[in-house]
Amino acid sequence: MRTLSLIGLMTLLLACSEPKTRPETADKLKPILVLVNPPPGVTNFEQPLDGATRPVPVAGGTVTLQFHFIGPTGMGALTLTPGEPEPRPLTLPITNWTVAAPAPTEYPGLQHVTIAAQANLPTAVELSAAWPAFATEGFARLRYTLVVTDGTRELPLAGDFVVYRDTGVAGATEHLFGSSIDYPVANENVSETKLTISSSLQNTQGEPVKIGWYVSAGEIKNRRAATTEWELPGSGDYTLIFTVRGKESRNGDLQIRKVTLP
Amino acid sequence: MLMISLKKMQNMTLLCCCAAAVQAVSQTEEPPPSPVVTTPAPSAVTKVRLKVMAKGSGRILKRAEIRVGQEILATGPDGTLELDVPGREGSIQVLRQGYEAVFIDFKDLRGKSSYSVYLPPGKPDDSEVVITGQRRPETSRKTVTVQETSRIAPGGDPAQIAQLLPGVQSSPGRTEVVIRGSGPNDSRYFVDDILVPSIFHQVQNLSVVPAQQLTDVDFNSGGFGAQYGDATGGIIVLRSKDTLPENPRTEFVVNVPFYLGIYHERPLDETSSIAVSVRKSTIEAILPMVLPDDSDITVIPLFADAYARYLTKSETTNHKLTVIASEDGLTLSAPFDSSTEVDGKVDVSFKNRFAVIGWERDHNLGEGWRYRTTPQYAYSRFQIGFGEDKVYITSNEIQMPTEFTKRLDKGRNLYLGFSPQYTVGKFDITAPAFATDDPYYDPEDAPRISANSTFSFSSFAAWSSLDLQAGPIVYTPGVRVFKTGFVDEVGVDPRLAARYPIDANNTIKAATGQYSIAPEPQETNEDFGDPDIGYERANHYVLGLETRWTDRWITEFQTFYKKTYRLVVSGGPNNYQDTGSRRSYGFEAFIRRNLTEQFFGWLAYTWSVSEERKSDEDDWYTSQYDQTHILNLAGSYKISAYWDLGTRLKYNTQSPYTPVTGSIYNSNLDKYQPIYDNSNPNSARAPVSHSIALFATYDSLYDTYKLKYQFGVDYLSVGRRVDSVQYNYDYSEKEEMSSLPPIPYIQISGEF
Repeated sequence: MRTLSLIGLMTLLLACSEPKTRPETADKLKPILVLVNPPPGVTNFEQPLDGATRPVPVAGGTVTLQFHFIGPTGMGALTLTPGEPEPRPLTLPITNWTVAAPAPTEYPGLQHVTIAAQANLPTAVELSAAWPAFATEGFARLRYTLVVTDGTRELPLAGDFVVYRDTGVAGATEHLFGSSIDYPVANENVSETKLTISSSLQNTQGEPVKIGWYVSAGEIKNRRAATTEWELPGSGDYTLIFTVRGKESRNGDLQIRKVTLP
Repeated sequence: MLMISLKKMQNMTLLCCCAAAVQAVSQTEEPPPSPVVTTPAPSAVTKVRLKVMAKGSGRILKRAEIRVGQEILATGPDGTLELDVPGREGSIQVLRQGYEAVFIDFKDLRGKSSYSVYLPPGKPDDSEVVITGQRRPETSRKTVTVQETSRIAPGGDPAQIAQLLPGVQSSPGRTEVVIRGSGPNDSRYFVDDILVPSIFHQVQNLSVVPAQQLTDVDFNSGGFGAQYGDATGGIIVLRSKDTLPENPRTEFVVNVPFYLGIYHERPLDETSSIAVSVRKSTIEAILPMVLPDDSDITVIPLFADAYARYLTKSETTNHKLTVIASEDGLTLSAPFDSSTEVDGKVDVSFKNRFAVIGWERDHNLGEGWRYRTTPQYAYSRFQIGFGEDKVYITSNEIQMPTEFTKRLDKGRNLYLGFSPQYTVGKFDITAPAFATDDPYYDPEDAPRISANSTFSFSSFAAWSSLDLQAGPIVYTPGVRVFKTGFVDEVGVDPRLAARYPIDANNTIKAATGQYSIAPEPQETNEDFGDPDIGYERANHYVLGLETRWTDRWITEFQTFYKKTYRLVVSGGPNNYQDTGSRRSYGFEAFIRRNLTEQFFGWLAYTWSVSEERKSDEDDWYTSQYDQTHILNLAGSYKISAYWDLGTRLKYNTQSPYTPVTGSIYNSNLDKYQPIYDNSNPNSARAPVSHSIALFATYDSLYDTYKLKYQFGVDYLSVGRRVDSVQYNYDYSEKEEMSSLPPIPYIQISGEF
């Protein structure tokens, strides 16, 4: 029998319990989300987005990927460039990216930067030739690879998105969801260093999602939970970011909230 | 969070240790009563029946010496003596070898019809070496008695002794046995001739069979005989008692914080006896009390076992009916980065259950022939779940290993054996599909494949071996022929072992042979694996020198080379392929001080290299089961009849890992994926590891029962101990980790 050591599992728990560096803090350049075809013109992520209005990528059309990054205030200008072509034969390499200028926004304790990249998509014929299942199923996943740098750190990014034959394909209009931060409440100060932070999802399809919390400082107890705790280092102005992405649709959402502890 | 809870547990255990120590100190050895009698009370001679017994057990002592003045008397077979108590002043002296003398005043005996005398144990004797019996010679076998394992093994448990022997790797927290670079699943475990899935629980250092029922442990690290098959690594056998108890005996054990247990054995009549044992973990009840209220972790480890043995003996035939049931389990709910639930947690469950029943019949046919057959039935269930992934395997197996032995001249034997077997079971697997050609593959995001199937197959094995002699060399050729139902080939494994006594003290030992192991049923399943996968094979080569320096000191040096091929590796179009191979070679030194009442211990050192490759076209690289240096020093010293002190020191090279050269951010999963240095697999290691265990045992004796306190601390170190290397969330930094803190423990057991 392929057995598993119980004590090994507990050891793993112990080993994982006290990481020194934390993934949620904006201490250096960090990607936090990629939105596929985000609502055009939206720049204020402190308001809830309406996910249902986002058009899905369709074969022969274009796709816009909106990359979201965080980093310390004063972080260098970001540069996003296409990465090496995807070596896997089952996916078509998307290399014709047109990358827009970075759009940085300063928040308390961190900088939030968005960069949009647009590409033309293969036609349905090209997709069917590369991936025969596309003709029958009506959709395929296309891989992208890009590299981001702030001048001091170079980081490859990879992911994929779903491209549909047309908007009539089952699933093309499903799995769109939105989100909101319920607590802390916008424009209200908090009174304790240990906060319970919570969020809500509009996830009518019940799609498996992956949640991520990011902060300008402090520690999040469980950054994958919709409701968890955030321990602030002390009085001051902070920024809290909530992200969510669908494991199947690759859709996502993001909320940013300024938090003040007097 | 769990760190905090462990600290609480340590504190609690330390308190218990202190309490035991205080009690121990208050019950130190008392000097024998003074023989001086001052009260003048001459009176008439009276009679009293003395009964002499051992203190702590109430066991009757035959032939105990009673001295009354110049007269020397002795107790009879029932431990009693009718004594005339003189009317004068004075005392009697009660003596027996191995016990302290006891003096009793005449006045204390007068007026009584019977008087019980309990003799405390004497000082440990270092002049007598405990001799153990010899079994069929095996080149790489080490036999350790339960008396010995109780002195030095982790937790005093027989099954854990393998961790201290040459050729065995170990890492903190690892309970599986890795022998001479083989995988942990390449070895087989037996209780006598009963095949069991494992011999120890995966929580706590505890064998599945109570130590009270065992006599010794056979550890065979390679080059073993034809009677063992379906193994390319090693063989570990727990040998059970085949003697009848003289008196009923009950023992309980309270191990803080891990488990409770009770054991009972009794003779049924002059030819039969029965023994039963039940143990159950308590850690699952204690952990929730010590975990912080705001902890996000719910962890419930548990284990239990039950054992029953019926033994009957006659002049020509012994029968042993054995039932063993064991369960290990863990349920865990904790924050995991891969969680897709809104609570951010993943549920993990693990359960490993088995039950076996075997009936051993050992019969002397006369004229040098005897046979032993053990028909047995085994049920096992292995279940693991991680989020939505699961592996669930059950099997029911019946087999009947039977071996005939013909005693030839000069201790040589002929062995003929066979074992038919039938297995039926099912498995249900949901797991991520492999995609080894995808550079961004991550099991978290991989498509799931599911397989659900039943299986049944019959197997058969037959073997023979014969001791031959050429001059002083005794050599044993053997062969094993076998067929496993779902493998489309008949296997033939030839084996050869030889012993050459150079002189009375030095013996050269050598062995070679082919060893095979059948693949797992799911690896050859049409839906999930590759039906063309055959037996994994290994060739063993062993050469060694055993020297008996004195009756106390023995050394053994061995070199070994082992080549394993047709190794099943993940990958290929059918998830599994048998294209891998592994080679291991090394040197072992074993210096052993034989058991006396006072001192026992050994030093075991292994230098070895283990390499593997996924196919013949690939280059060799360091195996995950490679640990270059492993040193174990273990010893126990009995300072009095009541106190026993011991220590274990371990020093070993850590297992290798493949270094990470960078990372890539996977935006689908919001996580960083490592970029491994695949041109140098397993080319890095954590710094060498060492750990120290200190332990003590105190026996608190009462007239007819005793309490035994065992306490100690495991995982001590000099300076900071490093157990592993862990990367941070984006693989930009790595940190040396000590996964287990020093763990104090206390165990209280009672014997009635």
